[in-house]
Amino acid sequence: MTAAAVGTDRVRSARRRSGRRFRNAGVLAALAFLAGLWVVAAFVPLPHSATVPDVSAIAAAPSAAHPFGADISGFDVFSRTIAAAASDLPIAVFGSLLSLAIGVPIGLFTTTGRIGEACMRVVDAFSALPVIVLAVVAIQLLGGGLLDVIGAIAVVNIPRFARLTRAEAVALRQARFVEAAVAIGCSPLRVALNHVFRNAYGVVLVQAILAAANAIGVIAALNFLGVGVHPPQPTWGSMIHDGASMLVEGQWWAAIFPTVAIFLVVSSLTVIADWFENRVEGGAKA
Amino acid sequence: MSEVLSVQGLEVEFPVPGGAFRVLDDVSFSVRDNEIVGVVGESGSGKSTTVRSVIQLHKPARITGGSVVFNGRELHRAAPKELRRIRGREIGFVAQSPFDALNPVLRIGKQFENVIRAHERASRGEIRARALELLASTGIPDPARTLDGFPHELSGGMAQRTVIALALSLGPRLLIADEPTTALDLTVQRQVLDLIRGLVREGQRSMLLVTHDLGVVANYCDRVVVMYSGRVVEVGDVATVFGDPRHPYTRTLLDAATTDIRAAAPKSSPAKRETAPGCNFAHRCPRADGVCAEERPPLTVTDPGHGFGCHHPLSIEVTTSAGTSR
Amino acid sequence: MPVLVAEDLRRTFPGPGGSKVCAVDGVDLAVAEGETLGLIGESGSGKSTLGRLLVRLLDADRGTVTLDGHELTSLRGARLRRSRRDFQIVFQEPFASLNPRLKVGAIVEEPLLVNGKSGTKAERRQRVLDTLADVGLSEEHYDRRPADLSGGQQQRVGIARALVTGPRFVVLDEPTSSLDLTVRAEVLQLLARLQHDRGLTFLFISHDIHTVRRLCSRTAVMYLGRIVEIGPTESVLAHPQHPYTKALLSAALPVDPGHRLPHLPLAGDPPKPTAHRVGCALVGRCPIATDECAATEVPLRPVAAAHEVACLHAGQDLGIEAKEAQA
Repeated sequence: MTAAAVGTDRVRSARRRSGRRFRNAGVLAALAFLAGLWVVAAFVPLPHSATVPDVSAIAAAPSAAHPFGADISGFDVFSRTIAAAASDLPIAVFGSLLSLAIGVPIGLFTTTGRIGEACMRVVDAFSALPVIVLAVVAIQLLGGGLLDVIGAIAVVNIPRFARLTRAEAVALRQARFVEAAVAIGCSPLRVALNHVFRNAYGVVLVQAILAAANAIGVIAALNFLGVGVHPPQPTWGSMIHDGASMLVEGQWWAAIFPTVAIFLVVSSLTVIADWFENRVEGGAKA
Repeated sequence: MSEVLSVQGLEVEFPVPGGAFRVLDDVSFSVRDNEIVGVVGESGSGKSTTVRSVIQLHKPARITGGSVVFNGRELHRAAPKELRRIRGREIGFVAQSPFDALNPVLRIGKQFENVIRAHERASRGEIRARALELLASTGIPDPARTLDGFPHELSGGMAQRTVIALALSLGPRLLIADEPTTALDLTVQRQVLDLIRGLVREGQRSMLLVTHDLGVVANYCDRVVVMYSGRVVEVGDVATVFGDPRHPYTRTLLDAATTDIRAAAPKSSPAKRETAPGCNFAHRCPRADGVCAEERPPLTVTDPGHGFGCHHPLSIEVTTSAGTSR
Repeated sequence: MPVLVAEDLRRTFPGPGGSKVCAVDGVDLAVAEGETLGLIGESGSGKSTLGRLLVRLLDADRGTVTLDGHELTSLRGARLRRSRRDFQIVFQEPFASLNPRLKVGAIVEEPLLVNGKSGTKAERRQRVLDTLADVGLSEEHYDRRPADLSGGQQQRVGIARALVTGPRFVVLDEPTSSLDLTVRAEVLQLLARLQHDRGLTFLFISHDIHTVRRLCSRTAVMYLGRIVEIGPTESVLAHPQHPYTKALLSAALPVDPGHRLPHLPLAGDPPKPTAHRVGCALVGRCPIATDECAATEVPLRPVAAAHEVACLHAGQDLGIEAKEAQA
């Protein structure tokens, strides 16, 4: 290697390392934020009760006692914003995981045959309905508890996993190494898991993180509409709904803080998904 | 015989995240009038980059050193506008896959119009007449129907003939062909090679022909440039280089194509890419010693026009006693 | 006695616009124990389809394949999968045929795993290491991934995977055509040695006459789904009888121009294979075709010892020498 080439090599690796570090810092911040939010919401005592209003503080502006202010009923906005994470985050995460658990096998095993084709048509019909309508109907049918909202989130996300997995699986089925797996005598199940899914799961996991981000928005929309909410349990969507009526008075704090929370959570998930996607692609290449 | 193209000490670097990778290192060769020069090497040798660098079709790689002189003009520092004028008009290009070269949604006739009108003013009638003549000269049986049709209606051989006709439509002095027959059916390959050679000879043109097939070089080229790992290892008349190769790599290449495969035990496989301070071939070479690993061998010229970069070149006695098919 | 026998194999695929493409059109083939049968053809000749029919990666529309007297064509499900240890295939694209997520050791071990009776984990590992050593790889490659290997090494892994179960018959589907010249020679040497050491029976599919000449004891030439000429390699390549074989041979360019044959041009490109044809497939491109060629079935007929040709005018002088002299 010539001196010049050695030099450029060194520059390259240094630059790449610093780029990686920067990206890793963003991902770590996102992970720390989400984990911290969850832990605080679940285990750390809040300054005020999230479910018992303080009538003396109705519509109070942010202050030392109420850092995010209080809403029209006298609820402490800070406590409720944190407490809402305890329900919104698990619903989003478990809802997405549930839809993954159902959607992936549908996609994986419907790549061939008439039954597979029929399954996918049903999935297509489902995904033709607007997500919110589907979710509202699902919650009405299921009831309205925490588990039912998880079920609703799962139902609306099944098509995206089934479709994505199927698209990946159909492409991978054409791959020469899948033909090789058949040639050495692998059973259809082994081919599907060890060869097809093994090369698709990275993409599916990225999609799962994005689905969770999307679910945060869907949950907020549902709660904003008053579906799946059991007052006085706090949710970001219902908080924005309640806070919206205060905006006309110029009392911005009750609506803005849950909105910021949603924004930060969705951004964090997107950053993580992005990082993961890069790793998946890099892994396939290297 | 005057030189149409002269490449001297060409260095090309390929950008990688945060730096650059040198794909060509000190590449020198020339193409004379009415001459077909073959550029041969294995994948990763830089043969394709070399010829694409001549007309700077090698994006995103950059020329970082050396010169490319075509017809007295310095192409390596030509402005993009001048390069565009030269490409097509003075240097024609034929790539490996004809279907990548042709626009799938335009009729063939329209593609002739686009190419010709990019360089000169001509009426539709004139262009049509010229295109018909060109297509007929490439042996396409029904030029009028081809002209009114789309690329996908053509077979591989006919499509490559069409691309050749397009490349010659402005009468370039130099034709660059990058593996022009690799994608074609075997029985069609030789027809297309015969055609290209005929058109180059008739039109008093020169050609730079990239190939990995030693048979193509042996049968269609006047001179050959043998490349290994981004450098020229041997250059000269085909008969001289293939008959009395002086560089051990050329010998290895010829042996790989000709010797009985049951003969020797497998040697080590080459690494993906080598860049050494000395000879890039040193670690695979049976003749290599300490000098080879440390010092780059310069291109030594012995007979008129026969050059090789090797510290310990094979002598003519050794190669003849090695007794291959020649 | 032949190891592998194929009789009247036929396979069609749906073509554009509801048409049918007949990729393999009534092929009979017998591969003798320990031989390498070369199968030459251009793209679209059906040679890869034929290879896949023989190892049951595709199902035949008609015809049978028997290996050591056992019928393979009727096997289904688990019985088919278990029988696969006896017949294997090596693919053209070395990298694409290896699962990028698996390590070399796992790739070569998998045929043992799925075939039941594979012994303990340690025994399997030893067998994998032995096979890797046999194809010129070492223990250091065991934990590598395919992307970390060179093209030649990847193809060695593909060969190890095919051989680890000790098959009787292996289809080699252009195993060296995507490799560089010097690497190709090494892999061909390896295949020749493995066959000699293990007494393997190979079907070697290729479009390269030079390669077939160097590796194969017998050669079959395929054109548009049919075998048009078959016989001992020396006989077929030195004294070709079918016009298509002659054209193929004359199209090959030797490194020594002195050995070049006069060029026999066939008119145009190979047509797309369509549904079952009557008559010779080369009609339309052949310089000596007559009306009879298009109208009657043209079966393989013996012309010399073990050398068969499907041509009504086999051996007829094509006058190519005269043509070359004029040019």
